[in-house]
Amino acid sequence: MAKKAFDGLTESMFYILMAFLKKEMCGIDVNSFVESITGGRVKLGPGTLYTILSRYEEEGLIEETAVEGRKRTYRITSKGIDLYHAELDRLKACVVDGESEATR
Amino acid sequence: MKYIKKLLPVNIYDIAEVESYFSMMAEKGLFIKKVGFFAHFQKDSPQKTVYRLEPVTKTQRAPSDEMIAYYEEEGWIYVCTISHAFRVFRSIIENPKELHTDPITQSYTFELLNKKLKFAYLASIIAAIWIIGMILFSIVLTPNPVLYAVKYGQTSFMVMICLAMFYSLSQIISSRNKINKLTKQLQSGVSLRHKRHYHTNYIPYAFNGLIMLFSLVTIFSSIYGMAADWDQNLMDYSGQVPAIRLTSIETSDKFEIEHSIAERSGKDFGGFISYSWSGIGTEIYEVSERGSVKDKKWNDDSGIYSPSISTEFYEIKFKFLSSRLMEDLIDDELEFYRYRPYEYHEILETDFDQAVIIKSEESQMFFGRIGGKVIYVRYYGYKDLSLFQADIFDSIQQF
Repeated sequence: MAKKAFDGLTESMFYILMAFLKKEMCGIDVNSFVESITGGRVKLGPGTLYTILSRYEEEGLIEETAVEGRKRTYRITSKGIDLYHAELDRLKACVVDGESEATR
Repeated sequence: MKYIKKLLPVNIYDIAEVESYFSMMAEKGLFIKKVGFFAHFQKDSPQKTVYRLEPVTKTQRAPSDEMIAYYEEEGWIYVCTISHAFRVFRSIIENPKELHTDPITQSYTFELLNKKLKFAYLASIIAAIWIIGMILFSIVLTPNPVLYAVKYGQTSFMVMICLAMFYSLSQIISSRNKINKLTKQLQSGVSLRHKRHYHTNYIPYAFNGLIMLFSLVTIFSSIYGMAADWDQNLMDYSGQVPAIRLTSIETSDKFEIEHSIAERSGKDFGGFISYSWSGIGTEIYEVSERGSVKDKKWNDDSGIYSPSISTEFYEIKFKFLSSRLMEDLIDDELEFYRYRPYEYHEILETDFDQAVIIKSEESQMFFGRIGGKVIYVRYYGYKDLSLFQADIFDSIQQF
């Protein structure tokens, strides 16, 4: 799922995809994970979280594994992992470019 | 549950203004519960409440359980859905976490709404082209639009359709532009700015009310028109007739009015009067008569001399249209005589504002207008109709 204005994922999209790398999660767990890993820098509004999870599921980047009451748990798919790594490589390239320009 | 109903004074596509309006009402102790034609508020203790509108992203009106769970986790409670377009959420937390922290992601939530508005926009454009085409067809391509409007009274109906169509089209275009602009803003990474104020605008209600009123007037006038119309055999009619009678022209002792009564309807095609009302035409009469002189024949020896006369009398609401109505009547008649020779005479010495006589073979047509009254007499016989213009004038002046 690419952004409209930029060629890549937004910060929220990237961190939500990252949240599923190690284990299955429900939306509330994803929220805690992102707040924790970014030290509260990236906050996910419930609308943003719900929209991204819905889109990821629609596009086969994550899939539902369990439903308990109103809580739905998801896991990342191989397509999701590929997208995550592609985005990670893009970000790394950005950092390398940025650092080399700064130290030149 | 008893609700206080109010007209929504803001356009629902002005998302920030609607949110601000609901918040202001909550501060007055009125909490939005549902929105239909009216906004329904429940009265309670005033409370600072933040409202947010979320576009409906899937076909169901209510949000999914999962969505409700995420929103409630952050203090947002689902209130209602407006017009299948927006879901309303409220929070009583002073500075709640915004529903959307990523504008680009938020732009996705407008996809379905944009699609719906695009569809409505295209459908409206097609409908507008179709309706304009029909109207142009009836106005421009109908050779005699004033005659058509006076006779059949379709004008108010057309005006109403035009008003309603242009208004709804302008609303759809405006809504689509607003949502398009907002979507582009979000796609470019700029968040939606939530407002603290709103501007009231009741013009759409006034306009809707006007269209509704106009529709009712049109419907009632059509019903009135149908109820007011009547027709009768001339021999049974005892009232005044806005027409010169055939017996006033054919003065021979041997002249007799002929009757030709249809078996089923009982209508006398030899002598008939009808009345109708069309809105613009406040009085429309059609009178026809025919007769014969038994011992007289047509000059070409084609049979017994049987003259006839038919009159159309119009009294119209708008006097300024009378000249155009007369032109239309003449045009309409001349169309019939397109391939026959005819003589056209403008009568200068007359009590009418304008009078014209047209002669073609045994047919003579007199057209006259005075004020808002227009008369057209078609006579088929050997007498000179122009000699009777004073009688025609009297017949409509005395009517």
